[in-house]
Amino acid sequence: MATADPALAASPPASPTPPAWDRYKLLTWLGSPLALIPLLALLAVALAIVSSGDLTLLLRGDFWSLTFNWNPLYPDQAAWAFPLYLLGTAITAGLALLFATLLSLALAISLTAYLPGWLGRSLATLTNLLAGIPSVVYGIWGYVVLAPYFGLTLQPTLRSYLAWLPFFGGPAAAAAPGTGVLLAVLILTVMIVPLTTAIIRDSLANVPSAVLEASLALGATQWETMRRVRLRVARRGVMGAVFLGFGRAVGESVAVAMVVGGQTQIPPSIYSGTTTVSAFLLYQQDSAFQYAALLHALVDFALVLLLITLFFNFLAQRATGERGAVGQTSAAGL
Amino acid sequence: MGLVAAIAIAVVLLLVGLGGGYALGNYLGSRSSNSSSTSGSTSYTISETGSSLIYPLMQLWGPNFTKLYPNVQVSPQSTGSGTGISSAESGTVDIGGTDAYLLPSTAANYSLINVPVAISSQLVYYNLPGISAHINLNGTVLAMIYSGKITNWNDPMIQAANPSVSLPNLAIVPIHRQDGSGDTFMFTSMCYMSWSGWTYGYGTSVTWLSSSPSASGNAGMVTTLSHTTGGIAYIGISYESEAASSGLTYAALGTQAANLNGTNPANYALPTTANISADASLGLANLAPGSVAVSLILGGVPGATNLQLGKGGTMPAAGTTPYPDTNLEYTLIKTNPSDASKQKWVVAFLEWALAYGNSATYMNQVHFLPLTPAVVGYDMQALQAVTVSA
Amino acid sequence: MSDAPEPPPTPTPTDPAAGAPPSATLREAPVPHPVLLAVRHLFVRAPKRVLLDDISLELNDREVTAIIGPSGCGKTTFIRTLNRMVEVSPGLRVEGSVRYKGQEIYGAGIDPVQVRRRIGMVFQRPIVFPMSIYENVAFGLRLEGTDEDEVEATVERSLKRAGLWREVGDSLEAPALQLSGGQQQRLCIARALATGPRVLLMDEPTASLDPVGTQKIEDLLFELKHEYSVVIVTHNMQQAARVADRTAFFYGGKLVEVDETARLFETPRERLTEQYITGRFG
Repeated sequence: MATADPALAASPPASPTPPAWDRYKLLTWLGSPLALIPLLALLAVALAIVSSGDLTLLLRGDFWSLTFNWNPLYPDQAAWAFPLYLLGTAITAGLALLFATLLSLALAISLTAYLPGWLGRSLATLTNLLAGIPSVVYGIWGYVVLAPYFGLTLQPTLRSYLAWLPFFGGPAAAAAPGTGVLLAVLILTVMIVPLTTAIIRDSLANVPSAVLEASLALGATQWETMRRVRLRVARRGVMGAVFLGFGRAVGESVAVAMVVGGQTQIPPSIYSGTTTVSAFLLYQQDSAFQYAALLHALVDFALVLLLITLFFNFLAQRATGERGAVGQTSAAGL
Repeated sequence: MGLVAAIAIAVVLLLVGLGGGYALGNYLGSRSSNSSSTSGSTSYTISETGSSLIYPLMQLWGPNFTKLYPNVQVSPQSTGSGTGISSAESGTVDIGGTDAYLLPSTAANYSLINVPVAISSQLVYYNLPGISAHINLNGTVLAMIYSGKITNWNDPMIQAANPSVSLPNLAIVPIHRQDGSGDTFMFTSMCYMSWSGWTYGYGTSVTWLSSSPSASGNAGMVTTLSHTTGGIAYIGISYESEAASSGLTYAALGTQAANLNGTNPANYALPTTANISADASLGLANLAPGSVAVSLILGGVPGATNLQLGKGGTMPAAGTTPYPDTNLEYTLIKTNPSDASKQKWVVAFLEWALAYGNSATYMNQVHFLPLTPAVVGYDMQALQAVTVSA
Repeated sequence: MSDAPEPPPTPTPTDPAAGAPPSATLREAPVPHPVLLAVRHLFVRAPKRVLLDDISLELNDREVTAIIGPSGCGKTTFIRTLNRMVEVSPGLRVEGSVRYKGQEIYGAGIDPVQVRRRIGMVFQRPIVFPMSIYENVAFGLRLEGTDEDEVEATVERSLKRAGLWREVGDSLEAPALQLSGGQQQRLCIARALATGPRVLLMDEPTASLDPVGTQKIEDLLFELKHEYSVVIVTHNMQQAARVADRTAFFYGGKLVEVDETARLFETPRERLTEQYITGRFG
């Protein structure tokens, strides 16, 4: 019940402590150049991209064309169909994010509020472990284990029952190997869920218990408190998780490239293949060293991808940053 | 950086000048006398990067060379032909490995020379349940399949070349490499040289039919094809055992003559050692000194489709038919290296490889064929142009 | 009204010990009961110690009861037992009886959610939710699915009772977080009143407020006791003397003394009480 009286806590002894100050100054001098390293690294990457790419290509129609054309014999006639790659990225990352968000909301809610402490903690450890698995492992799992099952069993079954739904029908031949939108979305979802779950769980756990008690004291049930108060207070964290997850999904190359099919097309169904910006970067990197035009396109792809992921990471930063601010305001009296 | 390199090169050139220009062509002949003085003095690590096909060969050669010369290590990397070329151009590696030769004019710009080190080939596999025969396919048919002009296995053009096989009414799914690849270079070269309707050109990456599924790496091609009923895929010969254990069958491929007369079974060749050698002999017969940059596809014919089998080359040996999907594997090295004393060992390594490593004992292990003596001779000659220090 | 500390037990309409039906609900008694909450032999045990030790106390309708005592004496734990909020804290065990209008609130089949709607609570620090003023007050009503007209009327009535209507009546859609600390606390009171409780538990409601905010809350208490039974925990004895009809002194998890406020402060029966109110410890 001891409440800190601000008048009493206000003034600490004002005697200067030179050694501590010196140490602080030294740390500042050492620390500030170190703090610049991430910024310098980012600038270096951007500079490298700008200097080795052809930025005028970004303004040309053949970068934004809707058909891909690359004939090494006629590099002048190349058309890069960037919108198709972007669309493939948006479809796979967007759908994966939708499923991952729903799944990790459910997981995070049960981890924080419903499961007994020991079970919640071990599940949380497990999700964190999953987050550490290299993406190529997911890719191989998807490609070697899931793709045949998708191609031979799951997709024909889905098609036979759900063909009346848009994007659930489509030509059988296009989906034969099992790789494509459906598998890529599944793999990406599995990959993002640990990340988004961890962030959502943290932001739910950070909601002050006093706020939860205020809701319970008004006669709200556990679930009503979760839905109406806890999620609302933590909504910045949830948004941050969504943006970070999207950034990860957009930037993920190896696993997606292995299972997305690789066709440069607007996928006519969820079974058919498409491709992503990251997959293009991954797979054309070696060829790009042989063909200057391909290298320019590749670098410009990389530049746009960098901007997109930076943008979403920025949104995530902003969202989680402001969550802190809201926490302070709501805790004005805490 | 540039200044340092310039000074280094100047110093090297000065030393070379003082040394009176040491020709390493006789290096192997004199190695017994030289080895006592050079080996063990300074240690060198020869770096190689590039083609994933060449990588296992380098892994095989390197330790055997080190056994003879313990002061020299060979450090190969499997990165891809494009990386091999660009790293050789920038001089960041000593040897660049590539499945496609570098155009002689480009090579000259970067003071590089093409040094072929082995003959490789590629198989065309298909997934047709119930058909275990090696069906006959020629470059024209393959080009039309990958262009979407032939879409069913019972197409008259395929059936005509395979009168004894009952081909199913089944959609063809042409599978391509998603990653940039020397295999794509070989396959598109064959399509390009076989059919005038082929519009995709040739190279390590090209545009494909938008509906064509893709796979990454030869292993990926094997996996995807084995999941794809009606599928067809081009796969490097080094993956023959993997493909066989996946139950896949490869085709007999048509010679240039088969592109003109697809129904004659005599124009189709299985990828036997004799048939691959026959094709290589055809193509390499056109070689002139200093021009080892050559394609062996379809016996090395130029782009026109009306050339007769064997024209300008050696007629294949009796009982053999040239297997058309055949290629030279290249290394690239600098003629004016920044470290001439190290380059001496790079050249020595390649000379050893051409003289001793170019045997069936080594090549069989990595599914390559040895170079013909003529190519080895040209290579040795080309290596003499490399600046080295004594 | 001058009850002895241990009044005779009130008659009980239902005996929970005999086994209340699982569907039992808290019924409103037809006649206002002078004793609204009756606590008998209440214990709260933590794994290693006893937080409340045999508390028996009665809380009358339309009165303000103050709970005083030094830090850690169990004041807060005590009022949290009165609406079963104590169950939110893991590891605490409650024994004994708390009857609301004669009915056992810890009885089998009694939903703590229903208890908390009858017995509202205001915390030491104003906890407003990150939503509009209107939605904060409507929070409890929304849980019941009350129709919008009634919600609107209740929000207005509750804000008026909490003395906040004149200040926020024309900015109901503004975020509640923009209010001052004192306004936020009165908003919390309005929010608690909106669910229609008979008892209001207040845990040091002015501890984090400035003198003006404190004054307004204290003024409000005089209004509220016309309709509610109020239990206020306070560490401020002057506040207890100003606002409370009766005052209970807790020490070490035990109820030391309870009496009319004036009598407790002027002529305490227990030595411990005297020492505390004269400032010898605390």
